[in-house]
Amino acid sequence: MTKRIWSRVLLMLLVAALVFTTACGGNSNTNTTAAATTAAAAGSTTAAATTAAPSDEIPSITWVLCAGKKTDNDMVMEHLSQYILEKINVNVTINNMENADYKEKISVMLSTGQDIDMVTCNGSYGNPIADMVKIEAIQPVTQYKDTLLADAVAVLPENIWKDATYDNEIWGVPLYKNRVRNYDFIYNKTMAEAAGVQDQMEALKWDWAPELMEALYPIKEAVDNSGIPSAPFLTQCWPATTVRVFAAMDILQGDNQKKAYASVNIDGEEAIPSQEFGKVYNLYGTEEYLEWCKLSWQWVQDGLIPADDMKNIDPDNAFKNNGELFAWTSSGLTDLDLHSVSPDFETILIRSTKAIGLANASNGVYCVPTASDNVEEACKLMNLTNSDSYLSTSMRYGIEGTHWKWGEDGQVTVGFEGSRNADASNRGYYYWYGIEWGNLFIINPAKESAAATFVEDLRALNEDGSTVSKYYGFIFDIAEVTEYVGAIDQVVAQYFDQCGNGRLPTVEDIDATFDAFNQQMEANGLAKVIEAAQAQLEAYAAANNL
Amino acid sequence: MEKVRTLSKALGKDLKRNWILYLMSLPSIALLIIFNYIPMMGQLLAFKKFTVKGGIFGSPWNGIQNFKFLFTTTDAWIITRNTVAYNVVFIALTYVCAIALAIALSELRSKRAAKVFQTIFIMPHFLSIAIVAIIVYAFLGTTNGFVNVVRRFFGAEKNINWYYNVPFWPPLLVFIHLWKGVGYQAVVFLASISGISAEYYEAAMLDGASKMQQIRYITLPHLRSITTILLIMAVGSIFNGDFGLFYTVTQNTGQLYPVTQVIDTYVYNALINLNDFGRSSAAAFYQSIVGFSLVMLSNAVVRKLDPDNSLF
Repeated sequence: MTKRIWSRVLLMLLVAALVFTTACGGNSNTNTTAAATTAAAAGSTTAAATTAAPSDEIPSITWVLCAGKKTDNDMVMEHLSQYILEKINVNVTINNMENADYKEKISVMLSTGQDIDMVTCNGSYGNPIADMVKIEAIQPVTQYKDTLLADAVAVLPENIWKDATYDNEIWGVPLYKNRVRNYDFIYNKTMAEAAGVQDQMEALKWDWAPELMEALYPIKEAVDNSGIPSAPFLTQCWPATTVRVFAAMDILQGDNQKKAYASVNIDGEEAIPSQEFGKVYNLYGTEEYLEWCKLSWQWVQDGLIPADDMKNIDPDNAFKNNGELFAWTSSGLTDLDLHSVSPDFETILIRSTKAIGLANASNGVYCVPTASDNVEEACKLMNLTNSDSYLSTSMRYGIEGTHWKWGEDGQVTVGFEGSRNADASNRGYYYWYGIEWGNLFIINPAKESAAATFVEDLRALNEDGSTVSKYYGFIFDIAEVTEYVGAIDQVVAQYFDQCGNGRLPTVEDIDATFDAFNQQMEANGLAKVIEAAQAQLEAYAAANNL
Repeated sequence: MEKVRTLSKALGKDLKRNWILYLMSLPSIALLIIFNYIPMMGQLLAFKKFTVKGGIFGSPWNGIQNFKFLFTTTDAWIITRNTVAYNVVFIALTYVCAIALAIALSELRSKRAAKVFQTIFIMPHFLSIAIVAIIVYAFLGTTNGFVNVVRRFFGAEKNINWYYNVPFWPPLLVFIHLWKGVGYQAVVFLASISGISAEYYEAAMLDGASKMQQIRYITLPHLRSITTILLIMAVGSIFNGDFGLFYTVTQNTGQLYPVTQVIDTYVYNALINLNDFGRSSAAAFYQSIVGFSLVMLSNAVVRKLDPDNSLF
């Protein structure tokens, strides 16, 4: 009996050894964890790749981005691939993922060495370049700056390259969109006229959200009294999670609203008054933040903003599209067409007078993964997307003749009349802003979306009309405090919405929650995080003579 | 040398005699090795500072630094408590309900009815947890959820935000787990019950035993073996949380973390933005070691008390 068992065990071991030696063949980077299997499956199931016909002589690369798919995605990707092939003689497979998918999967896709040649690294996608550099997931392109990237260098402002610079190397080409944070209030002019408040709306000017909301009280009352059918008066105020509307401060871990536990005031601007310039502080522990939470609570009680997420009340934006929503908020816009939402009613944009320059590498950088063997081809593509006007326009609006046509102003603007983008509620292929598509400043603006002077307006706002933080270019290296950052992030996730979205039962609950919030952060090492950030900030300031 | 020769001879004979059985088991063994044993090498990541260039074997060693992360948070006790407590309740209630359901199904006279009920009870098991989350939201959504719509119909002025109602969630999560899992487990027990000889029941009836007595003295003792084995295996995953249930169904609502955050969701939430595979591997390694230890311990206990029913 024992012999039989042993003989069977020996046989199984022999089979195992055979399978093992077969499975282990390959390079030293072969990753056999379940994560790799999952990531490989994830990458392949989300691919909606279209490509020009491959050729043995022409190199092929894969570009993964997360602009999210439109109806005519495949058609346009094929057109773009063909155009790129003609321009730089590179076959590009454009894998356009949905934003949520990208955020979830990109880090694993990069870490497992998948066959990708160009990606976007962005703090809000969970893969900021500092982290990617630390795990050696991306490779530097410094040597190509004056050669393969020369056109991009010529059109992009010098200072934005700080976004792509870390450890004295350049890690890609920054996505040049707005470099400022400005906030927009958009209202339904047709409804305002019907309610008799258009004169008041025309006179509305605002710096920060609290004064805007204060001005909206009599307007809301007038709209309610006019008997216009109900929908929420206003979507959330940015929502209350966007603390930047309250004061000018920098979040040291990128433009991530939930990382404001390590912030600094921006010199030369109204800032959190209780905090000194040059000192790192926890915004969530300030009196100003507590006041903001109570204000948000009051706005909910007064019906100014809804007591539930708009994505729950109006998941398909039906209220907005049908003209039943009085106003909503946005950011980053300079201009808006009267019929940007619907041909049946007019909308007006009122921009905050404040435009605050972002401080750090947060807005995204095109990068080349370490696993890529086609870094030169990827650089050519990055160079092209950031310097070719037709490509930049087509990446956002689709195919000329099919999705858009040239305006009658000497090819300055484009228009959607008679095209597959004509119906604003059902466009075939359209991205407004489209950060993922690179340099916004070389597009031909669509007259349905913005004024012909849009590019100049935005450039003026970015380069002359904003306060630039003196810490622009600073990147907070969290390596020595990673455990604490992870733990504090969980505390923020637990308390952030409770405090700031106005939905706690009483205002006294806000005080209790605020205290518990900060106590938990302190208990999870907040002081260590602030200390580390302060030391790095001072070193950065000293190194740059700030 | 003589022994080795004898052994290989015996192996050869066995192979010749039972080659078909070895051949049949080959795919399963290959699957086990490729998806269970080879990936164990990934556990090395728990002790490494992972880099893409280095991969698993080339990345520098990091000692036990990666394990500090799980115990740095003040919530270490809460996430451990939630994980273990929920699993204990899940195991206890699932087996009690599954056995009761299996016995009830076995007592049905109509085979057709038994099949229909079995199908109804097992169907939730095949539903994706994402679908379950949507169903739960359809009931509990603040503005348009069925419960609040009914409440408003009967005159309630304010909606209840169920996703902020902390005490409500532990019983709800237990209920969802039972709803999904009991039917499937019942099938396993039903198979065992079907294997009990009818003669036992006939003899019991002749002796005047009631239905409850038959269940207590015949059915349950016959289920002891399978129950013990399943329980030992379940104990092995007592430190693993059901990620889909605690993350997807709760919509990862921060306010509910004190009662819904388990080890798996904590690790995911904390590390998804930190790109640190070493730390997440360390957490998984910790769960595996604890699970393995618990399986060995519980099997040892069972072997002492009831050797016939131990797993090994």
